[in-house]
Amino acid sequence: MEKLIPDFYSVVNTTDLGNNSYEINVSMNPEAEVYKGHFPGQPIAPGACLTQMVKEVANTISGKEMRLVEAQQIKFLATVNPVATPELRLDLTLTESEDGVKMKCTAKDETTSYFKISGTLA
Amino acid sequence: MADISTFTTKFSSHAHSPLPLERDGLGSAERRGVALLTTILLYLLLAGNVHGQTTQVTNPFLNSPTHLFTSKLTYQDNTFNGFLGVKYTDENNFRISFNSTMGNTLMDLEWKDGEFIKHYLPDQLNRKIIINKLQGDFEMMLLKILADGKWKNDCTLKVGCHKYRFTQNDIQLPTKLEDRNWLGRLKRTLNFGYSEQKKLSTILLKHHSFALQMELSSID
Repeated sequence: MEKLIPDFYSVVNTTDLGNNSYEINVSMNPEAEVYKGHFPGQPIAPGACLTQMVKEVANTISGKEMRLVEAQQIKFLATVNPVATPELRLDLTLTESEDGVKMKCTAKDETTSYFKISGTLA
Repeated sequence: MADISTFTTKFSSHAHSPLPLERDGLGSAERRGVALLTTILLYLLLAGNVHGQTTQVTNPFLNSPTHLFTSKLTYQDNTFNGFLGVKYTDENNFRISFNSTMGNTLMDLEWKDGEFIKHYLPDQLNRKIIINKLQGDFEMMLLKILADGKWKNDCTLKVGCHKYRFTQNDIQLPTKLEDRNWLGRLKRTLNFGYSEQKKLSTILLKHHSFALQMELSSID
């Protein structure tokens, strides 16, 4: 699967926990082009890029090229600074439904929950 | 009333007693001239005390050319989260960019050489009444008023129909700023919080005539 922003993140490992649940560790790249503008000298991952990252990870796991057609919840709880938080753990659940694939994702590290996304991929 | 009558009595007794000037041979015209001169000198002395002395207020934004805050805008029951970036060239010239958490720019405004420039505003906000409110709020929040006028000794400043009053901490950094209208009614309050390193850490701007407030937290 092709990434929209190639240098934004890289998947370190993916663990299948069963029951359509996955644990994915992603490495955030503080040198990514996007941080030159968001924001100069103070990198913060834009919410749109994080949402895209989750969608791409879900597509890779499901093996399908899907779009996020509906978002029930997109909640950014804390800022993701790739220098302070070089690695994120994504707890992802993918469930087949009539409309497509229902997705639920929470991003966290040892101490902080960064964002929650739930929606439908189709 | 008792105090006034006592004062009147004392004043009268002085008036009837022979003055040193009279003893030195000055006439009533000269005495009036000396009295007038004394009054003028006293007035100038008092006026100097009231209007000449001003209070120095440190602008906490000027310790760094750029600032980045997470922002939470609350209007009635609606909450909107984002980021506010501020870039200063000097006390009077600065530019702000307000972004949503998703990353898109919602406002890009600049104050440059006395001019207010709209670089970007969405159509929904690009209305004169909203722009004036936004301009006024950001000018208060970013303490442009510090550069616009001299603060009196009692920590007040009048600009048009606004009367500002600030409170500062022991190192002359502002902690609270109140904006009242000409009737004395409280319209807005601005609170500043500082870290242990005396850096600006939180800002809260609250309107008292309608349910709008903005909370900012500095990102280090």
